[in-house]
Amino acid sequence: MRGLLLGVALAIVVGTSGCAQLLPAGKQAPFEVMNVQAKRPPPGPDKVILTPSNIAIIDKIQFEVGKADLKPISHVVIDEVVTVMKTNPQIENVQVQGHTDTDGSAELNRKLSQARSETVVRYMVGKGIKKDRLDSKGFGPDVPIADNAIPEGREANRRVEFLITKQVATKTVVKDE
Amino acid sequence: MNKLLLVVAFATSACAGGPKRDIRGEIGVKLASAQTPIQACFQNSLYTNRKLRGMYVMQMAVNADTGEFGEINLRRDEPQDPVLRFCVISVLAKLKLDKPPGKRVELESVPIKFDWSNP
Repeated sequence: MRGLLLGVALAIVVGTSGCAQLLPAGKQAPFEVMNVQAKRPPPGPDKVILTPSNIAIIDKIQFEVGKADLKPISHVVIDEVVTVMKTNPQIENVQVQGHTDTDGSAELNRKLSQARSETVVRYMVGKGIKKDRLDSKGFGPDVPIADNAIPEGREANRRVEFLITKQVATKTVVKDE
Repeated sequence: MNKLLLVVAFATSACAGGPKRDIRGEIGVKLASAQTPIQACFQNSLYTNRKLRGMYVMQMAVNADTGEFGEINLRRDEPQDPVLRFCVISVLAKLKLDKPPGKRVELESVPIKFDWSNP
């Protein structure tokens, strides 16, 4: 009986450790290189690039510290966003999103980012974009795109984004031969 | 004694004959499944910085009990872009093996090469 128990215990040990092939500890061959390729946008002075999902901006939109007032230096880039929306009527709606880093109170940051996105919307409406093509939303620190633990990460997280929320499909006209 | 030998023989033969688990292969498949979302990360980052390219060498571990990928570190970071880094780590942190490996698995070197598809 004792032998039987010992045998069962041994079987369990062999069964659980021997069957699983785990990666050996210590020196290990690297995994195959994952080749990731993507299309590089064309060079040029453009500060704004229209992508399938958003209107990407190269420069940052800047505000007065702790306020929702736009710095005049940022008018140029928003003007380019306005131009993109005017020349692309298929874009029916854009959500202007305000984001912050995690410094300070999250609730205050949400309010500040909401106020900043509304400022941008007002500016764009003033430049001729119909109000019903624009929405504003402040997310505060809730949607980070970089690590808030490092300064450059916090810098990247303080941002305004122009997300295309509605657009009509462009028609391709094929001529009969 | 005979019974003992019989049980051990049964256990070892069952193990040898049963399906062997190729953990490394499973991890490789999971990593490959992340290629498309990682490509989306790279494409988005290229819109704002068209000079981005280079190599990541990542280090991570698979949790013994859950099979989740975690403890993700960059041993080499050539693109040096905080947004790309965050996005790729977020994608990898969502990976999970279908079955837990039973033992913690450390991946010492997972290389990812970022390059342009057009000149």
